[in-house]
Amino acid sequence: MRFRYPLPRSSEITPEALYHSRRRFLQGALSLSAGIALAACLPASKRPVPEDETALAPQATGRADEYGDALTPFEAVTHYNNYYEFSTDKQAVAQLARDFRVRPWTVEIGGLVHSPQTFGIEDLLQAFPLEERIYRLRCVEGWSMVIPWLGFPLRLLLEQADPMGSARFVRFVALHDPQQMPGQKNPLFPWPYTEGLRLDEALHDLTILAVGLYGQVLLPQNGAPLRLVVPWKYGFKSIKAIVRIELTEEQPATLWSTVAPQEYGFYANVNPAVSHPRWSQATERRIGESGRRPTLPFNGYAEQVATLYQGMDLSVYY
Amino acid sequence: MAKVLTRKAVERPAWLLWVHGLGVAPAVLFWIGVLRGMYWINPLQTAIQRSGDAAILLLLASLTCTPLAWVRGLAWVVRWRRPLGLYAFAYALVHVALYVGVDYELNWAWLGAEFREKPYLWFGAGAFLILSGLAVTSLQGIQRRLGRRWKALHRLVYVAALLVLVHLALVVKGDALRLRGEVWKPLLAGMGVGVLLGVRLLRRVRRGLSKHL
Repeated sequence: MRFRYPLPRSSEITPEALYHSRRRFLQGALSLSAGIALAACLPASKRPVPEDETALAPQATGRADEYGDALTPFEAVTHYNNYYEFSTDKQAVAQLARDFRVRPWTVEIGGLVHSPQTFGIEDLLQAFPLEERIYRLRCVEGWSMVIPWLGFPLRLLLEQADPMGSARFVRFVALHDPQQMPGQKNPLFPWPYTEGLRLDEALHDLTILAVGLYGQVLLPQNGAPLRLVVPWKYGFKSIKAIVRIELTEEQPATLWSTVAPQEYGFYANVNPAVSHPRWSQATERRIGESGRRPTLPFNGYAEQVATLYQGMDLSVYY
Repeated sequence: MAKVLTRKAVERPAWLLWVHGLGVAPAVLFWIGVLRGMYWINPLQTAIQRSGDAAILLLLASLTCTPLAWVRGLAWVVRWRRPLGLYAFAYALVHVALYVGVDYELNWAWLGAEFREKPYLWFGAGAFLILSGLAVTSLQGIQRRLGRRWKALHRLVYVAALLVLVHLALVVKGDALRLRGEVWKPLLAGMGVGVLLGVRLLRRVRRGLSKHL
């Protein structure tokens, strides 16, 4: 499913001031609640254009996913973040990540490609048309959200780098900067965060690199300036703050499958039938809802992606 | 024992305050967090985790009383043991009630499926059963009736502590034995249980030796 989405103004894409000014950032955060109220009351055309580009008003074009499930509120999406680089406390991340510097930022694409490239994030944001994709996000812990991402298919970027025939996997590496990311001082994790996809998974149209959500530039706590979103896999596959994308022949090691291989596999497809030693994978709690709901195979994207895994025993390749 | 009893009248108000303060603190801290709007996004997950943490902390606190009471002049500490143990049970009860009653809404099909496949639940449930038994038999009338057997029965608290430790180690994200991942809680609790059981063993061994000498 594709969504047309108007290109945001360039001022919306790269509000540099946002990242340098703590005060303005706070103002932005405060105006969020007002923004939600406004968005509810005013037709889109009458919504006042904020003078200050940091006045973040959530403005997704869609309201629900294809099942009709409502979007998770912007406040929840931006204040409940599983981002161990900052904190294991999900509601502490937004505050800790406030001053995270997302400019300057470069993303390298290398490994088994014919034309390795290094992008400045500004160029990357201009390079491809951005689309809104409303995806369910299912955390391995058993909770889920519905998020309107803004991004482009990873495929477009990979095609530009022109993978060699020998490339079979894609490895992603996140920023390693313990000064800015205090959680990386925890020696019990093999930082930096790394993730991987099989090449055909990476080329799948559902797989996107996100640069924004709710029509706004991505906030640091959500993985700014560039993150992966693979909606049919558990959330931890969707690596944040990417600095390097590498094509490899061997299946890359990933952070969580290194930490606890018996419970975090390389594939990590959302699968209610494959049990996890701890949390339930049969059911989930949608943030904002009171009850549990059954978890869908491939997080509800089976129709689009199940063929990728034909003939594989998914209880072995979990 | 006589010493303990004679001091009782003097110390009662003060120690009760401390014990109840310690016991109520986790709940108060949680409520402050709730009032400050800190847990609104996924309150249930937080409440389940915090009540579990509180139960473990208070269980360890309760287990600390006995070795502390061996220290000259601190014999009265032993009277903290029961209230702290009961508080630990209370938090464990909240923990289990939230999980079974609120998170899983008493949906026995879902709960059964979970229970069949998740070893951490077996250890947690085992510990909870033991703590329930100990809580019930801590009533004074039953204590008296059980006599010597009461002490043997309440040694099960060590089993409960070990079960809880495994429960915790299995439920965190990571591998506590390989020191990988988010494992500081089971590590700390493990050290606590290790020390508390260790000093008891040490004392036994010493006593055994001195008898032979």
